[in-house]
Amino acid sequence: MDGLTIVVDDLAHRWPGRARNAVDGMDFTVAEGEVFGLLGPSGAGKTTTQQILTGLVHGWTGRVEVLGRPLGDWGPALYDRIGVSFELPVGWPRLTGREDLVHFAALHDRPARDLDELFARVGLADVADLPVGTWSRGMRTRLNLARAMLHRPDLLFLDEPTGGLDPVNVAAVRDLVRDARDEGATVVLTTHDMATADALCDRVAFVVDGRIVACDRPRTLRRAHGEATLEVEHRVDGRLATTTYRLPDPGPGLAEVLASGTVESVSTNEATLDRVFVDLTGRAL
Amino acid sequence: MTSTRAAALVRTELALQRRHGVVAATAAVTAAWAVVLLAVPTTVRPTLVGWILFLDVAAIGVFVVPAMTVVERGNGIPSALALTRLSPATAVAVRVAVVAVGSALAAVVVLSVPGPSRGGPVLVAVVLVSVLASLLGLVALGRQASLTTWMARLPLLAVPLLVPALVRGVGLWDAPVLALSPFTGGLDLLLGRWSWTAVAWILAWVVVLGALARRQADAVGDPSAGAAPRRSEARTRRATTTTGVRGTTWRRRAVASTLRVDRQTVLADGMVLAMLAGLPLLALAVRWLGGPGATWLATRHGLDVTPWMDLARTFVVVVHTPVMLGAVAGLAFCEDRDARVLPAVATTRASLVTLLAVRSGIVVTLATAAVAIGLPLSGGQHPLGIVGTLSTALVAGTCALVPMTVLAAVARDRVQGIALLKAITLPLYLPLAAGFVPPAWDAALLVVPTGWSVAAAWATSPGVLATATVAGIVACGAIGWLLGRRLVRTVVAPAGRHAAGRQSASRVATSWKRAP
Repeated sequence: MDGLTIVVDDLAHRWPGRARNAVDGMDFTVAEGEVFGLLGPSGAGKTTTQQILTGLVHGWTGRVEVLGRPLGDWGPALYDRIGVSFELPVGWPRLTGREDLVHFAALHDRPARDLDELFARVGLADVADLPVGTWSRGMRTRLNLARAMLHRPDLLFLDEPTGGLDPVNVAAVRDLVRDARDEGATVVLTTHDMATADALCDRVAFVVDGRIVACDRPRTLRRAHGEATLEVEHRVDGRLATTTYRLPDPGPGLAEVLASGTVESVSTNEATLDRVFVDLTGRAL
Repeated sequence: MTSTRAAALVRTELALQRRHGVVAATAAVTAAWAVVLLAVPTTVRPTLVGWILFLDVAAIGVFVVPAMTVVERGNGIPSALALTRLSPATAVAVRVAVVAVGSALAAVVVLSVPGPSRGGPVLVAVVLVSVLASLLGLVALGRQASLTTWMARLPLLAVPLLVPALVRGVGLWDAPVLALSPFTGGLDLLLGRWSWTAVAWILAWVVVLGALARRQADAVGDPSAGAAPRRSEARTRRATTTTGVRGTTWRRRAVASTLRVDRQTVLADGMVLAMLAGLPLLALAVRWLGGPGATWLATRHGLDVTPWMDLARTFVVVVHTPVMLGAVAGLAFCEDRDARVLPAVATTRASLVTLLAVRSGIVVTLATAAVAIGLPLSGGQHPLGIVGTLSTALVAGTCALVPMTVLAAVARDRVQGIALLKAITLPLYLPLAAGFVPPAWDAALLVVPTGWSVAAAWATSPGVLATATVAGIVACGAIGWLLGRRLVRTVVAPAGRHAAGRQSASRVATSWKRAP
């Protein structure tokens, strides 16, 4: 993580006709090669932030730099450097997946990836030559992802890339994001999928009412919102009992139990990212 | 169906129509007609009211019902409804009924201008014609989910049914055979000539069209009704090889690819191609009407249509052709918006500007060529010769940008696209009134962009021709540029709301510059 790929300073935007700002004084940076998660409840301003960073929304205030230049100084050339995967399925129903990607490849001034390999990586090789109109929602979500990665962008914006996917494909998408990061891309991930955010993100920012209320490494946030305790399940007179020990000083009892040979399981009470989400946003997932 | 469920259904339908902008568009058009009626002499009003009701107020459903149905099909609503106790036929019936009531309410406003004498029977006629028009629109849609297809199909069904009514309505010809079209009786009823026979004939058509619409609705709601056809392997292979195009700039590749995608999407349907092929046939029909047709009408029925031929030619070739081509391109943008493709294109190097430029180029070229070929094909000869024909073609072709960019930039979905199309079509044809109104009114008609096309078509001096051509191209180009800019700047909007054109300039902190 050398330089900064994104710098956002006091960013604000209000949609016309709305009573309050969708983005309300947001500050954050994303380092080169980082996977950065924007998390928060629906309507918090995550997607609007992504739309601003991708140049789709005008009329915002504040300072935004993307890939080393102020956003306003970029023209269409920005789009050769970034890839965007939208939250909702995108695509001409009458075109096949392959025709769709061939078209989008032609709209960039950058060499495209090999389509067969790309379709195989997103698990769409079998349906690539069928009209997108016949695809399931999950397939179209993966087409969004393939479209975003098509021209090997330096910066990827992924909005709910695991929406509507089964666990196997969620795992495949996570691998794709890791591969993109390994190739040197920076990734901004907007999601409600806390498990994916936890697995992929170097840092996450929780957005509530257009502001970032917390921004740190997932593990740091989990530890901050969990209890520093250890739970040990063990047998006492043949029956299962649970004993909780406070960390970092559990006392001598823990060593005795561990030495007794009756332990069934040991676990920490570290919070999950879902719990952090509920704590920070005040809303359930 | 219980009354509670019926009330809920009607409430939902009303909310949908309100949020799609149908209610607002209907109210605006109704108010505009009321103003027009107030502006014309009182002696003209009673007849004009009948025609307004026939051509506009009672015809709302022919646009709105298919458009809403297309959007619902695109979002899988029929399959969801198929799993409820609501039958597809009931859903269709409620939608058609709500539109008919809306038409009747608009008719009350329009009828109130000439006076209260025409009341009840005409309102019944409005409801009947509205139901007929809505069902006709649905039948034209078939099982498709594409508005461009619907737009291509509709004239095939509507023109044969409307022409008899128009022919008798304007007094060109009166024969019993014309009454075979239910719209002939419908127009009679709207003009205040009550006939139980006409009512019965319309109801018979309603039953038949309703049965057809019900069959289609049942088929679409059935998840086992079949998937979309598969593309051929040959086409796929061709698409694959295009990624490897070398020796051309990316910009050329982008333009070529955009053209190819439009060919595979907008022009994929044979019906759209049939509509395009039908344009020269329309010109030939006008040619026949001005030649052998005029002779036949004169000898057989004592009608002299010769004085009206210039008007007919200008209507069909100079105004209608570009408006139709622009509308098809505009609806293609609406379909792209519903497929959420526009933001995806906007985040490419080529950007929406390429898509706009390509479609503008295609539409203006096609429309210019269609007018340049259509004018001589229809038997017309411009007073200023070939220069007059080409100049008229150029300005008329540029006018195609207006419906295209209005639909592209203002409509947020296909329903609004259709509502807008309906709202702008009649005003775009309004300059043809120059054939009827005193010359003093001609300048006022130039407010409408197509007014310059009509002025160029009827110009008898080089000065007027040059002015009309330049002013028309500049006006239409400016409208196209402004609306295109609006499309680019408002390609995304917050959920549930369209942000078009409402951004405060004071809050604009950045502006996009071209990359150095």
